[in-house]
Amino acid sequence: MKYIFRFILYVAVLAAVVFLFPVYGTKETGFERSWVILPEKSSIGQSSAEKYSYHLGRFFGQFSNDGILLSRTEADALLQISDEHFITNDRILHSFSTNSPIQLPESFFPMLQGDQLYLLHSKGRGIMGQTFSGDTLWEVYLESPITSLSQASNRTVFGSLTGQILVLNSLGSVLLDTRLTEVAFPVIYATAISERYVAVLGGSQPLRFVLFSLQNGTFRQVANIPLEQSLISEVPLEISQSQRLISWTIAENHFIYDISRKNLALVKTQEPLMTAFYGGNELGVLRIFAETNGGKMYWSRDENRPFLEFSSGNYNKLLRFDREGLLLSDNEQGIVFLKVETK
Amino acid sequence: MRKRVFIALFMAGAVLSGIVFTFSWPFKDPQITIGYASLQDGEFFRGVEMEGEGVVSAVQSGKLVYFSSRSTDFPHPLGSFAAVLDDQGYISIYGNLDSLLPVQADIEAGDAIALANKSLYFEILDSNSGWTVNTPRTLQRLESSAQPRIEGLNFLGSDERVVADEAITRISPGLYQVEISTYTELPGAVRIPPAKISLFSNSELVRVLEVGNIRSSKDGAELSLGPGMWSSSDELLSDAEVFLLGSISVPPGESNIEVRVQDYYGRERSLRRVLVAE
Repeated sequence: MKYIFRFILYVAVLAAVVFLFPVYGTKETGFERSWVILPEKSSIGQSSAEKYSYHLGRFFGQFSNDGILLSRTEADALLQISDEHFITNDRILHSFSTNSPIQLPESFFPMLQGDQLYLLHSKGRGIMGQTFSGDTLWEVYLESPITSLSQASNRTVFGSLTGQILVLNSLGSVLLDTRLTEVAFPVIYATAISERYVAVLGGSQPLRFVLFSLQNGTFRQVANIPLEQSLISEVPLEISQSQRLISWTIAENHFIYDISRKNLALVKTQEPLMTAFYGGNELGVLRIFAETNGGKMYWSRDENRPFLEFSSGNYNKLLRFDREGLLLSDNEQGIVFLKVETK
Repeated sequence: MRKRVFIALFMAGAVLSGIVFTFSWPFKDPQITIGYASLQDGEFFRGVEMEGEGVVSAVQSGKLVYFSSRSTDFPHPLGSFAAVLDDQGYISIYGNLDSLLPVQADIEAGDAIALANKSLYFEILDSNSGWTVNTPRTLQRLESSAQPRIEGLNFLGSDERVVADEAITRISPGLYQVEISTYTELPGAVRIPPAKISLFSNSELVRVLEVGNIRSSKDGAELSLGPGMWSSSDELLSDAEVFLLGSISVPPGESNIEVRVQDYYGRERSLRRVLVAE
């Protein structure tokens, strides 16, 4: 009888844990945490498929999923950006292997996307593709300040304040140089969602979704969709994309846009949304949406399932999500890394 | 109707006076530190950088179309920046901002839109062409002691450089490149290129350089020097304030050379030299 009572008690406790903490109790998802406390004003700003970079005041760096490659000294910032290279004082590029520092000019701003180092200059018009040893691979000029830079699917895509879209291949050759034909500036975000498709979100009042497709060696505009004016406010806006599917997700206020080629679907949520993530893994596409003030998160396993809710606890903001299932969030204590394991 | 007539008359007057716009300044008492079209790292500076700390006001009415502190931000040479688009297609850019103030989408000229941290970068873009508009010409006149200055006039021959530092300069007959060292000095010893440089030979106008818009090219920035005339810094300047005005032929005998330099507010300086070719 005593054992039966204990067994029931264990089951009850286990059930309470599962139901009271639905995040941990989800059958498909578990979380691992690791903590990194970054100095004040630090924030995560960029992501790519495998690595993440972040802003640290004016500095930035990158780290891999395997571990944090950042250290900071009293004297200056030391930002390690790969196993062998790091930037100090945001102007000097160092190599561990050669130990030969490269001084970057005052007006040059280093930036990493994927494995490519970019140097921005000329008040955001000039962009150089740079090797870590200091060699310039290519250089391009935009007509107006850059507002979007992304590297994905062997494409580097730039967008500008006046709507210019510039697409380079991995060798730095220009594949597309155009201005959005309709009033669709500034470019808010532009990226390659495959080698064939380049997606652009730009304009204001209304925002527009523009899609370019590579046809017979030439990129042609195949979609230009105005988004509902009444549903889009000025800021903030979050965009996420699916690498596997030709689709985009935009979450704002109470609405989630699912844009797939020429189709536009709309989902209304109870809580105001501030962040959207769209990642795919071998089991399918995971979509996660969050609000910033510690309320609900919404997530879905794939396109055809409804959105589920779970409590985001005290995490203020979800920052990134990728194929590996890594969630980055922050709260008052610093930046939190949550690893989502899909079973 | 009255308002339209007034605006039309105002614009006509502005164009005739050589000042296309009269936007207010984004700071109340701006201290300019880097001027429009001055050379920075070998390239024309596209806007105006000014010192100050505090509230940044919109120079024109329009819509706030961009503010860079979104999650897709990256370290940008303009820092955090905002952009306001007006009905004419002009975009005013405010860079190095500390924060954006709560603003409506529709902004009136003079509205406080942001806080700047120590310095403010300011530029006006024409969204139709993508060119940077000649910023000093668009802004209201500063009550300052700005003065155009001429430091020197030189003649570059095929194998000699003649410094014309005296009223009468002896020279060999031949073809010479005319080089002038000039600038407009703003308060705080800040130097910017003059608005207009004219070269006369024996009272005949040889060449006019009129500083205009700046556009991007494959090699960087190009400065407009007149209708259809675009020049890179290599073509125009041999030094930060030394302009190449083109070639003149100096025949045997006397030649009267005059250079006139004008700043953005119509103040003018001139330098005359008599070349005696023997």
